Amino acid sequence: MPLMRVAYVVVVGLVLAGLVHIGSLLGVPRYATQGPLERIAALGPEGAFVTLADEGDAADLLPFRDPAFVTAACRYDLSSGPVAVTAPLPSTYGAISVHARAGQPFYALTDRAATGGRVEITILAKDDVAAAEQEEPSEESRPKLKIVSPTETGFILVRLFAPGESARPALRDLAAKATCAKVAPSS
Amino acid sequence: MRLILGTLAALGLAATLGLAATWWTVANGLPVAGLTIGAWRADPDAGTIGADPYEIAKVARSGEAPLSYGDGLAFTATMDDDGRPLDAACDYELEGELPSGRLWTLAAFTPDGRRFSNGAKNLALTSATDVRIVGQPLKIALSRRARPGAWAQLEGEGRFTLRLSLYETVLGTPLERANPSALLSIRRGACR
Repeated sequence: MPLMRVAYVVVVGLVLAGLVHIGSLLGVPRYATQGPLERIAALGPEGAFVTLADEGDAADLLPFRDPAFVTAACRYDLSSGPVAVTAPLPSTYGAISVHARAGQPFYALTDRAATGGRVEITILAKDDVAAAEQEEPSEESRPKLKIVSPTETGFILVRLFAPGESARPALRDLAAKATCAKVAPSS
Repeated sequence: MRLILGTLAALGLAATLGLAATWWTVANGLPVAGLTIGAWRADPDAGTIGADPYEIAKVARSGEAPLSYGDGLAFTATMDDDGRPLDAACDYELEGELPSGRLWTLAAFTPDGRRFSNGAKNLALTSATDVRIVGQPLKIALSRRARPGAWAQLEGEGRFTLRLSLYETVLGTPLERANPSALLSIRRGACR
């Protein structure tokens, strides 16, 4: 009988191990302290783009970030209203991606979608969608993109391709022109 | 007494195996998932909102901001074609054709994602700086010493990881994923 008992203990242990594995896996994003959003939070307050360093140890803030790109990051928090983002995307290749809380991008545009070398995006929380739909369509010629964030917080990356080292300073200036600010409440 | 011992053994086994499985899969990814082409591996779904819990946990642990699906696809290689780990003491030759795309970049990183260099400027090879010879496949030399043609200098010590990023490529689409085109081969040359 001891063999049966050992087998029983092993089977129960394996089943419980599966549960522990699933539970701990789902808990990793919640308890991770070095996720992409936390790393970007070290750069400064939310609501403004910060261009990531290209030299020195600070360049390694986000692991595996493509060194051929100039990258600017902005955190957003939708708890006090939508956030409007504008970014210049040069035709050498520029992309803007909006990432949810855990780091997964849920929206991305490249410079092919830019009008006049810029894109404008408004990020809404799920609760703000109804209010946004009731707004009068504006008369502006530029199309207004409205996207809904699956999470209340997240971050935006603007990535501009640098074809050569000499292009980098100009691209850093360009990336600094990107804005992400709270939408002023319309009357 | 035997009941208590049995319960403790089962709980101990559960905690050890369960946490070890989480630790390993979060660090390495699921071995069966992802898109593998030769020595290269990518996780196309990690850059979507439909990422599975393994991919979400991996991002949370590594801190990498994944590329969006429609933006590009990043392939990682940690070994050469013969399964030996990439080492900066050796020369490597990458050869092949890349799938159609707007732009590609190739960069070397340490295994935990820091830049593999001593701070020099020439960090990455890109399609904008690449040297190609008409009628021949793409050829890239990785070495500590200068090489003719497209050459990227290995400046660090020890093991490294190569990251090949393809931007605006069709490679991540489900159709292409089922029947992927070849990527660059990684051949090891002399080691010092």
